[in-house]
Formats: sequence, C-alpha cells, structure tokens
Amino acid sequence: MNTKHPISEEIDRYLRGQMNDEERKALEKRISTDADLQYEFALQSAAEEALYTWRLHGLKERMQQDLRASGKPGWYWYLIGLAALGCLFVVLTFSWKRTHPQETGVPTYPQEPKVSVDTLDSSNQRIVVNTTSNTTLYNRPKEPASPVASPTTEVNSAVPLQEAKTTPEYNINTQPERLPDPSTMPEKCPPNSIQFDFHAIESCENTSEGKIKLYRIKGGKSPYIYWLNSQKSSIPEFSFLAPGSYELKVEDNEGCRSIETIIIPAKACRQELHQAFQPEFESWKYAESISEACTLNVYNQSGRLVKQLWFQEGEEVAWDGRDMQGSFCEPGYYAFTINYEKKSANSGYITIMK
Amino acid sequence: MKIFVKKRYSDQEILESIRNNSEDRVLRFLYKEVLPSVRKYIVSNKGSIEEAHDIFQDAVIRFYHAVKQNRFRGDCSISSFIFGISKNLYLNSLRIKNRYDKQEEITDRHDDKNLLEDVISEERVNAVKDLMNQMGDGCKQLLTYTVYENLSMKEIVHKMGYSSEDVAKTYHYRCKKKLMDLIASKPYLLELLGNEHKASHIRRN
Repeated sequence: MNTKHPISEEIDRYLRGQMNDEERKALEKRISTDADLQYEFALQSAAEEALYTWRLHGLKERMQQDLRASGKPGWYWYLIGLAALGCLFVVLTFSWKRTHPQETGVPTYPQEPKVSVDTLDSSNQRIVVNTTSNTTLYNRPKEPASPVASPTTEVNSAVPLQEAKTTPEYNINTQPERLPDPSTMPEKCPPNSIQFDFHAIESCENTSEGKIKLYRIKGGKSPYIYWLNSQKSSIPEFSFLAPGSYELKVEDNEGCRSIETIIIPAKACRQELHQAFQPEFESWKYAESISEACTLNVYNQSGRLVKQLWFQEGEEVAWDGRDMQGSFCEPGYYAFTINYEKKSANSGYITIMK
Repeated sequence: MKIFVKKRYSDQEILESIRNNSEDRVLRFLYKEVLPSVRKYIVSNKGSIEEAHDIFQDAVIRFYHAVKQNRFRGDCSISSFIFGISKNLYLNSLRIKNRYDKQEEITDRHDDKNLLEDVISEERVNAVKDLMNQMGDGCKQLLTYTVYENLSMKEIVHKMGYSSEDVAKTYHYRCKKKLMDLIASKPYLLELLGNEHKASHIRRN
C-alpha cells in the first residue's frame, strides 16, 4: 500500500468536528508548528472538500432531475390527450369507411360474421349456402401466385376450373337464377371499368381451407355482385375453397363486369396422425404412400429416440413396435416424425397397446 | 389496517438528516414546504417556473453549505431561511438583467456575503469531476455510496460484493488516500479546494 500520504485519524476527527475544544486547540497548535502535519492537514482537508463538492454537485443534479419532471406537471395529460385523439381519428376513419365503401374501396361487412353465398345446382336451382366469414384482410402477395388475368384477359384454360365447395348447411331456394353472360354486358361498359385487388389464401392438399377475399373495389356502380365460378355472393369473400383455379366475376349495378382467374395454391401440410396397434399381432403403418425417400424416427414420452428406419420412394412406411435392440417397446404413447429430403416433415403419435 | 400518516419533520430533524447525508428526507421536506412559496414568489414577479427551479436549487445548495459551516443558527425556520436566500438570488439575477424593480428592496438578509458566493463554482465542480474520473470506477462508486448515499459499510459490502466489512473499510481508506495523492500531484487543487486561511501556509513537497 502506498503510504505517501496516510490518512490521519486525528485530522479526520478534527475535520468532522468530533474533537472537544481541548483536543482541537492542541492539534491546531501542532499544525502551526509542524510543517509536515500542516501539509497533511491541507491535503486531507482538500480531499474532504472535494468529496463535499462532489456531494453538493450530486445533490444539485438530483434536484434538477426531480424538478425537470415536476416542472412539466401535465406531460402525461398531453400523452393521454394525444392517445385519445388518435383513437378518435381511428374510430372516425373506420366509421367513414364503413359508410362510404365504394369511395374507399373497403367492402362493407355484415354485423354477423355469417356469409350468404348463392350457388346454382345442376338443375339450375339457386342454393343459398351459409358459411362463416373471416373478415381479416391479408396483404396481397407482391408476386401473384397465379397468372392473374386482367378483366379483359382470356381465362387460362390449361388449369381446370373447380366448383366451389359448399358446406352441408344450406337452404334450397326454388327461384332459378341465370349465370351472367359476358356477351350480355351492356355496351356502355368501358373496359377495365371495375378494378379490384384480392387475396388468395392457400389451402392444404385434400382439404378446402382456401379463401378468396376482394378489396379496394373501384369503378362501376355499387352494389356489386360477386361470382366465383357458379357461386354468387353479395359479399366479396369466398371460403372453403379447395386448391385449384377459379373464375371470379365482379358485376356492378349496371351489369358491367370484370373477370379474373384466381388460383388457390396448394400447400403441403403437416399431418398429425394418431394410430394405435399391438406389436405382437401387427405392425404400425403410415397411412400415406411416400413420394420420396424418408426417415422414420420414433420417440418415447421422454423424447428419447427408440427407433430409426429408412424407406425408399414407394415403400410402405411401417414399424413393428421394436426398439433399436429388437425388443418390443413398452405399451404407451410414442411420437414419430417422417423426414423427407425435400418435402416438409410429417409427424404424429402412435399408441402401443398391450 | 395500517393507517399511514405523513410525518411533518421538524427543523432539527432536517438538520440532522443533512448531517447524516439523508438526502431523500431533506428533499421531500424542501419540495413540500419551501418550493411552492419560492415558485409563487418568482412567478408572480415576472419570473418563469424554470427560473424558480434554478433559484431554488442554488438556495438549497447554499443552505447545505450554511449548515456545514454552522452558519445556520436556527434563529429563523429552514423554510424562511431558504425562501430568503431564494428571494435575494432572484433579485440579484433581476439586477443583472436590469429588470430590477426599485420599489422592492431586499429586506430579508439571513445570509452574509460569503453565503452568496458560488460554493459549487463551475471551476470547482469540473476539477472534482476530473479527480473522480481519475479515481477509477470502483473508487468512484464506493465514494458515491459513502458520500452521496451515506451507506453503512455493511450495505457497501452487499452492494459492491466485498467479502467483509473490513475489506470495504480497507478499500474506502485506499480510495480516500488515492484522492489525497491525486490532489497532492496537482498543487493548484490545494488552492482551489483547501480552506482559504490555510492555503497560504501550505508547503509543497
């Protein structure tokens, strides 16, 4: 330790006013006669003074901080006011858009999320189909997944058109209705008179989860009628669509129409299966055939890999319920994954029964 | 059910808190008891809230200094003492700005000339900041705890992660000694920080 300038406890007590008169006078007398002690006293006193200045400076900084905050007593009211104005703006904008859909291009949705879709059956009878509407708007992809035709473009005949699927719940309306015929479009309709954007929401293969939503519908005269193949709707949305190509028509109040071909892309979905089997009597078999080589991994409940099997394209994916050592696995729940080289993996659960 | 009653501190308790570095209690008292009247006085005399706050801060620093130098004799309350200083500081600032209204004279003089000197002048503060920066982060933190927050060695052991109070005391001693060594290496600091009547007698090594 550097003892060049040791701290004197005596001087410390003096500076802190902890000495009695007698002690203080005695020290002052020694300081006046001892040059070294005088110097040490000055140093120690300056150090205390520095710390004191440090403290006062800190005190001032703290007061500045406190008073800066209290000097603006209503700052939080400004924030609350701004937030309230923001909310009011949003509410007014939303309400205006709802009452002026043709000006803003935002479709008016009914209060209830119930969508009524009209379609024609084989005997040209109108069927009213009730589906559940999802009013969430999605962004239109920058690069459309389908060869989108302009209103005057020919429909892509290479892709077969699919009939829109219907839900089991429907009411038969006996009043027949004819499909719009492009040839009957009034002559006064200018080309591209109705413009709109749309979202095509993909669907899993072998399911009907796709959706088409129209928005920013401009031109023509509202109200519009929407046709998807033979489905007719007053709502710019079609649900429960299988992957495939659809023809969409938007018709205004004067019979002017725009036609677009829209493709609902198919996506590969993970399939979760849950199958049970008894290894003594049978093997577990994966329900689907595989189009490429894959690996089957089977895990127990603690996540430990109990079996790994490889299969070539076209082979039946199966497991005999035995672990790596060739013993039958204990009854219970197991998870499996089927990993392909290119496709996304499938997974599911297997129950081994006794 | 607990009933919380806001305690109103006596002047004696506030003076004790200043000596014990209990800043929280003192500032709470001053913000509640003194600041409103200072603010009201300055704002009603063509001043702004910001000016009132600046004046109040300077007045509090001078009050602390007065307490340290035993210049506050207690012949008036702390509130009127600080209000008096604030008033004088404001009138002085008005004089400087040539906005002083001759109708109002300085009547409250609780302080003497020395009290109105800038006890934390920019030069002094900068010199101390420079010193503290040279002390290193550990010493700076330790001295901040002891000087600013008046923490006990036990609390410092906990905050700084020392193994015992003895270790904390040793570090504290070393830090203070380091401060003295730094001051010794810059003789002008002795003049700046030392007591005026002693400075002339200081011998340089």
